[in-house]
Amino acid sequence: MAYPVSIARKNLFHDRVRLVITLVGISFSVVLILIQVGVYLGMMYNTASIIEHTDGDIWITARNNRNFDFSLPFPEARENKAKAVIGVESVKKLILVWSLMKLPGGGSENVEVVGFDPDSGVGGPWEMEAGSLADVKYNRGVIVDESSFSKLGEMKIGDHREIFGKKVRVVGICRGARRITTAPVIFTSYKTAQQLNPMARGATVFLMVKVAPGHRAEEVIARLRKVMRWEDVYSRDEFAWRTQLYWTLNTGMGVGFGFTILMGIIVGAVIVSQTIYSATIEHLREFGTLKALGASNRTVYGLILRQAILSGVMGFAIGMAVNVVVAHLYEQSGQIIIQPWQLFAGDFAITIGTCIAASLISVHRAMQVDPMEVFRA
Amino acid sequence: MSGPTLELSQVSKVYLSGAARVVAVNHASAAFHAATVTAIMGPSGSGKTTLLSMLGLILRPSDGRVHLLGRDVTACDERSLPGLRREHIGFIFQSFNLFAALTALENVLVPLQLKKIAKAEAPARARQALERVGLAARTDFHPRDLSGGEKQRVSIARAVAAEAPVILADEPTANLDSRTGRQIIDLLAELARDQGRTVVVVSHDLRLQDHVDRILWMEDGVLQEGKHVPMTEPGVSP
Ligand SMILES: Nc1ncnc2c1ncn2[C@@H]1O[C@H](COP(=O)(O)OP(=O)(O)OP(=O)(O)O)[C@@H](O)[C@H]1O
Ligand SMILES: [Mg+2]
Repeated sequence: MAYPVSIARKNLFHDRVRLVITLVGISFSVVLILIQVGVYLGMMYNTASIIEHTDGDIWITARNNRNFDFSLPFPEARENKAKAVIGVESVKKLILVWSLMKLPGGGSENVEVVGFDPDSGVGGPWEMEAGSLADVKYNRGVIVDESSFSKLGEMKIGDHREIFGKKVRVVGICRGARRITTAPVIFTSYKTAQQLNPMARGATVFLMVKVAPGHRAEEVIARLRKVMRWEDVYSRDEFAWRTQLYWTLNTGMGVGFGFTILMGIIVGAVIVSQTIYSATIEHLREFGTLKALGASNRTVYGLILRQAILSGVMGFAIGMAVNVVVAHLYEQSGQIIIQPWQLFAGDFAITIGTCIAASLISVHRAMQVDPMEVFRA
Repeated sequence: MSGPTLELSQVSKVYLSGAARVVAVNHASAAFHAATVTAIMGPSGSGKTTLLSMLGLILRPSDGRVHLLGRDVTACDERSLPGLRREHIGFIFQSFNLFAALTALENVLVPLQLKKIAKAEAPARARQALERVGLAARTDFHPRDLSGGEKQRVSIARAVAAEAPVILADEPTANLDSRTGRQIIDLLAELARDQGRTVVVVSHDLRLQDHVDRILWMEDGVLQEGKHVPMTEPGVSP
């Protein structure tokens, strides 16, 4: 026997059915929120993954470009303008164009062709599974991401495929390069990419600028903006953010995720407030008795609150455990899920906050109880 | 012996429900002394529970004064009342009002932890109280596993352990058979005689009158000093 007796805990565990309903409700909400946000962040990571994996401090794109995946080419000679700006250490070109790959069994798939500079490797794949990055230099070598096999069919080094009527040769398999567009990514040399979409002839899609030591990026950006009159100039983070914002706001994706997350919060809140409220109603006589025995209002409210917080903590813990399993299964299916600690902290706060808010309704009800209620038969 | 433990002077309680005005207690005066069992009897709806609630500092009188150990508690502010109840008053209810999730022992410990009795002392005191009411073998039972009489004895142990000088009981035997009811009344009488507590019992049960020191009669909110009531009086359920 523990002393003092934890009435909150004993009450909670006394009614097993209600406890199970409460915990299922809370943990369901917790898992829903953690997974939804994790998947969303994973997608956002994908949208910016190529940008984040370059060392370019500044990105230059065609004017009014909206995001990474749908950028228009502009004359590659503009590179020289950028190079002449004070504080620019180097400028590298990167192509991203859409094209069509013929499939072995007939039919074709849209692909995103990324043309990078094979000598520096900037903008190329960052995790190789097989083959060598430098091999894209010769005979229209391409590197395909393993995640694209489901769409394009299995490929191995030495295979030949046809993109936009041009025969390409698989020289490498990479990992982790997925686009939110779900189109397979084909990495190749800058030169080859220019052949795989006529719009890219004599053109680049991005210029990646490295800032020289001793110069501040903002100042270089300001100078570049003056010079690059027909282009847009962004810092790397700004460009990544712009791309993520595009996918979140302009595609309905943000609304979709936001809605599901909101549903998670609401479902959790409704179940928690419902079960805590009904538990309070059921214990009103006991709370009255406690008061008759000399418990202050604070003690009684503390009891209700503790009951709610305890439910929240247990529900969250179960939700976390389920989340580990679900996230693992999701990752095994080849998707990326990103769950930073801030997500867990935030969801914990939301869960406990909901429980506290729900218990305040119950406290309000407990306050209204007729003190003579304890004498009723 | 000094003055009364509890004293009512011209206490009234008026309930306002909508337009209706119910005078539940009408200028009641009475004094309750230590080591005495007082029964308050009267027909249903006569205001007995209302009176007891005011004695127990659960309900504030509309008018008049309540003195606890010589102190005018009608003047006390709301926040000091729980402390006064904790220190001085033990309740026994018709429906026992035990905490369903707690064992008999834990139920008895509740007022002790409200009084912040030390861990070294509380469990022993609670066990002793349960022993006192003959429930030494039931300490780990939950209320659902106890009979009605046992439940009422747990609630008496709860008041005993808290060492409240005043014990107020509202129909403590109404839910019990007559033999068990007798035992409960005997137990309350013992607490008054052996431990000098002030015991006030509200009851319909006319059989009680032979086991108490004094009877107050309540009718239509008016409290009168003791009269023995014939068991056959019309309108009063035995
Ligand atoms: N909260 C309330 N609001 C309005 N009227 C009330 C309230 N509580 C009690 N009353 C009325 O006050 C009167 C006295 O009630 P009380 O419960 O004190 O009687 P009682 O003698 O204890 O009755 P019983 O023997 O049935 O328990 C009754 O007429 C009752 O209807
Ligand atoms: Mg009554």
